[in-house]
Amino acid sequence: MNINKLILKSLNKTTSLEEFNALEAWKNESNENLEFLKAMQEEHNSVNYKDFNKEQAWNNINSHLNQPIKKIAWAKWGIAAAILLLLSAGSYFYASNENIPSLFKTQNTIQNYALVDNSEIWLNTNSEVQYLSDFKTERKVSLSGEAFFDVKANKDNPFIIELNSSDFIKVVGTSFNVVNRDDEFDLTVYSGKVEFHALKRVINLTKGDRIVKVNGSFTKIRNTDKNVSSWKNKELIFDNILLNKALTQIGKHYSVKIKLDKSIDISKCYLRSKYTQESITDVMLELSKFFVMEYKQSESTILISKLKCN
Amino acid sequence: MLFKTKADFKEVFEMYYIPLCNFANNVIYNETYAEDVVQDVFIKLWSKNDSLVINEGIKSYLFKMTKNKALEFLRTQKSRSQLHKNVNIDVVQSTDHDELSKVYMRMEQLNNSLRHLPPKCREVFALHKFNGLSYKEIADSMGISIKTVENHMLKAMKILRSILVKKKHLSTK
Repeated sequence: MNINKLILKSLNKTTSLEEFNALEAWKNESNENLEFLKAMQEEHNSVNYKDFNKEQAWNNINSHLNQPIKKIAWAKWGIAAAILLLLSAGSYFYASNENIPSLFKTQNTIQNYALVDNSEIWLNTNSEVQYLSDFKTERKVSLSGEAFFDVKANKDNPFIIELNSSDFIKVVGTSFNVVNRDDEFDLTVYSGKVEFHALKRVINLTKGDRIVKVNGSFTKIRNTDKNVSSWKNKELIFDNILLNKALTQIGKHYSVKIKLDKSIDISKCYLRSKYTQESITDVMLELSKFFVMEYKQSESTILISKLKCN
Repeated sequence: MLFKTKADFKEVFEMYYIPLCNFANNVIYNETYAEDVVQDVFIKLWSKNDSLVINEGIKSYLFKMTKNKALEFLRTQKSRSQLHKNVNIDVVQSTDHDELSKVYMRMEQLNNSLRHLPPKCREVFALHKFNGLSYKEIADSMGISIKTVENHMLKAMKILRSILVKKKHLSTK
């Protein structure tokens, strides 16, 4: 085979194993060959040299620099870490140490942060949590967007999440998922007790309770949806639920629009499956095996043209 | 202590982020994951600031870490899918991180200069110098006259030369 062709193939990463071995052999024949290959590679790489967004990257890195994230780290370091935590908590407001952020904000990524009281939050995309107090006499934050809270228990110092000027969530030690946007509110409790203060009323919630906003008023329901915090757990669970609902959740999870052809009736289709970190392509592939299904996939939309359940 | 202040750390970040991303991208062929890998390297670096001792120089160290992280990423990905059949074996086998980093820093330097060129001018210059197209071919592909191509080239050379002179001036100071 022509050596130039082989080099070109290797630059575009399309060589087979045999071709690769042939090129290796040629490369080792002489120093000249080696130098030539290196030069070609460099040339190729410099044409493909890309600009990356430094500023955005720095913001992202910066938000990670001063916050301990993994619990394991704390367990490992034991007392030393506890002392460090006290020091950093103490210096936070009093020395107004600018290195510790008082605002957590995400754009296109999901992030996990530890607060100074060692509570943990997971922030979904385009969300924001801000410290509103020093966390010594009072633990208070505000939230816009979606977040999962795992609050460290402290009876004397309740944890408060401000939703707007009058409504708030008050907890002692618990875990729950909150969506707080202009047009949407959803609170799902996973453990412990939660007080929901809204419209000057208090609703007490425990594990499995959920508050949703329907037509401007809050309604308390039992949560049967296993995928409320799928964005955080990176796991979608479908326990024999209506396919229509499952497709909506898959679409939301992967930020794609799934459209069905009008001729398709899936009112009697159910799905039982579990997806853990699979790509949307893999999910669709599996679905097409479950159901007799034809579809077209582009970057942001999936068009299902044929579907039959067994 | 590697960095006395965060500003020192940021300076290193500014200098190496883009070349490292390009390097990672040439290993794993995914710009988003390449950025993730490199950001991870910097976060780790800062977290070890107090204890880390580097013998080989920060540049080589960063390239070595990026390579390791990128390969680690490929390993975990591979178990899930067979998408990454064509791993860049030369990168994997190369253990001379100093040499490797020099190559990427050279590209960064060149690219950094090119960033100062106006977009059209830059395109013409790149097509000629990197892709080896003739003035005639560039003129045809861009739908402009050969005279315009020449003007773009002259302008590019002039700007690049002035940058080079400025840099020399700074480094001899």
